[in-house]
Amino acid sequence: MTTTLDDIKSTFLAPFEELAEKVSEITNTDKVSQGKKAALEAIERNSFPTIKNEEWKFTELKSILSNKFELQSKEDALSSDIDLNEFDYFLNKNKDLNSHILVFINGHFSDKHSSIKELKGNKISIQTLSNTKTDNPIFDKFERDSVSIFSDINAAFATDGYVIELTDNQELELPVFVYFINDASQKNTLSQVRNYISVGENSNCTVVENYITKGENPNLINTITSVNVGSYANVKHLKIQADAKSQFQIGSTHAWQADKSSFTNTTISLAGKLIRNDLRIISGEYCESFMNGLYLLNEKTHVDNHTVIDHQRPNSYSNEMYKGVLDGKSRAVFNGKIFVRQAAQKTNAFQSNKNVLLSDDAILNTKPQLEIWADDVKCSHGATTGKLDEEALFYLQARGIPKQKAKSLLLQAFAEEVLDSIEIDVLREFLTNEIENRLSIS
Amino acid sequence: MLNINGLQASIDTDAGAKEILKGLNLEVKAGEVHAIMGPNGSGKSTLASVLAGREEYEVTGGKVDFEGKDLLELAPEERAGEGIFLAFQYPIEIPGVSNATFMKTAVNEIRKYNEKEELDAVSFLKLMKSKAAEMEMDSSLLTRALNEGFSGGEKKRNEIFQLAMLEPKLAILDETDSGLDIDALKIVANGVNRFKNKDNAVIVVTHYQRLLDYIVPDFVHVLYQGRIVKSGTKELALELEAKGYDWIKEEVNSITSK
Ligand SMILES: Nc1ncnc2c1ncn2[C@@H]1O[C@H](COP(=O)(O)OP(=O)(O)O)[C@@H](O)[C@H]1O
Ligand SMILES: [Mg+2]
Repeated sequence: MTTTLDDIKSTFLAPFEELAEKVSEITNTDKVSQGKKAALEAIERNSFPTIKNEEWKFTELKSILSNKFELQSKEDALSSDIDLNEFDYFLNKNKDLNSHILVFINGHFSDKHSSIKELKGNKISIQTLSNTKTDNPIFDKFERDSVSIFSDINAAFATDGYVIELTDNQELELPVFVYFINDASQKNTLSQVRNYISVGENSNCTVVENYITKGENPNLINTITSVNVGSYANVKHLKIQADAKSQFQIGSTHAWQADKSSFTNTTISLAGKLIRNDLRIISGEYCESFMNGLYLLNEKTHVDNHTVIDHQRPNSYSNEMYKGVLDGKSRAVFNGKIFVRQAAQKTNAFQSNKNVLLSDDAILNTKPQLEIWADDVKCSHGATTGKLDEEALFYLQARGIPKQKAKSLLLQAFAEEVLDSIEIDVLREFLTNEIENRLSIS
Repeated sequence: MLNINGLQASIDTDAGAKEILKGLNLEVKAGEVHAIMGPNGSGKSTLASVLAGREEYEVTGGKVDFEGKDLLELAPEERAGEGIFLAFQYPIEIPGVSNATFMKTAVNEIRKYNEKEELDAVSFLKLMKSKAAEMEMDSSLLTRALNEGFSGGEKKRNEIFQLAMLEPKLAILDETDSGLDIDALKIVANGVNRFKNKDNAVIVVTHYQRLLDYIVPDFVHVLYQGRIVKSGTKELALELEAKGYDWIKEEVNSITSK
């Protein structure tokens, strides 16, 4: 008997049966509720992408979809005894890191692990999705943006997530560190979170999403983060996939930038089984958009970064810098699209993707995609893939530096450009160390 | 200190293996300065690279003994640990690694290799500053990325600065004089002369007699077609300067054609 695409889909969707029924019975007319119903219909229409789909050409989902996942109730998720300090990657262990902390376990908010520092007045709010009414006006600012059937499944069934809102002229002084923990020590876990960041005019905030897995069972986290950046606002959003060896991850980040705003996404992938990151930015006039990425892969880790910067209005600037180091049998996919619409004259858009292959068995697929309808623009892109510079290596060795250390020095230098863009010292230092340790044993 | 016996080395090229060193003999004792001269392409840089442990070159025959150890068995970093130093003809630029970080790592790795305690940050900085001053190096060169954007002369000076920092037993200088104006040449030569003592040795690879006015060799060798074909004292360098290499080539060719 062969498994058909329909079989795969019904196996994957089986745990959602009850939820689906509930969604189909929704009568509320607000945007979120209606969005759920629309997502439910989309799920029925769509199927999981295969490698025949151009956008998924190098990322085969079989390894994910061949598993049977379970959803965990809030009760079960929160009853497990998780001591955050057991995770290397729980950065708030470090007392020098002063931040708000939000913890989600298997898609459910864990109050006892979280701590939100005092916020002045009601102009800034850090909330959870489950505590936010579906008719809250914040949701009206966001459009539905579906990358694949995973987006629809998330939209229909996400259990929780964070909702951060800043009204005009606000500064969130401390960063928000969000930890998404998949506890797969007992079961094959599937968790889904849906996050919103809404930042008013001339306001600033930094949000760091951290992905952690406990346990060895196959586990998947499916996420969407939507960001609305007001005029003159500055939002930094980071995704750190550092401690999740058994994790599958499908996640997308969508940012809408009002005129004269600045948005930075930094995506660092150090561990995981299969990770697909979609990043889509729609930029207004006089905007700045930065897309920084670093993937450092070994064993059979597969990381696929698909990014889109869509310049819709004139006079904006975007800069994308993705760097990768591939060891073992790892595979990285980079696809960077730059759209410059006809109205977007005087756009400056730059993209670079640089890779170092440490092993002959590692695979890299990189593809820039520029679609430019305006005529007065400056765009450039470049991709490089190569081994570590043998001459540089020899120079260092000839000065007494052992080969592994020499490699590590060169790779740190390679990664530094991306890490330097991270302004949170504890985070940058942790990553620098992590990279150093990783490279000196590889 | 160094004993090279019948050394043969080749390199893989698109047209097959190319033999470069064809049975080279050389002995260097502590306290000596040897100059190796010879026309372009005769194998001088290859010899220097093989001694430093560059894997690109395959050693196909011969032996190299350094202080009682089989040098050819050692990895490049072990050779450096044992006290071999190569000042590169073309020092490479390494973006992202600062000169100071590089130097500190190198100094301490070599100390570790020799089971010496590592230098702490303060003593290292002090040492680095004094050595840089001796080489009349602008302190900005220390914080900048290794050799990146350095002028030709700055790169060469940086090589001799590293020599001074690492204090090896055997320094091999591969055309350290090329591209230097006379002032820079003097600074470089003074650096080498400060380093030089009765317990260490220097091999100076050069094209020109000019450098040998400042770093005075005990022996001068002519390397041609992968062999040392003539050895003498410093007068040989003067003779080469005056007459060029043609007479040597003729001598060699008449012997080989016999
Ligand atoms: N990496 C290499 N690839 C191919 N040929 C080489 C390489 N290195 C050296 N050779 C050849 O070996 C010979 C000796 O080169 P080299 O040692 O650089 O000479 P020298 O330093 O005396 O000028 C030359 O013919 C040169 O072209
Ligand atoms: Mg040469």
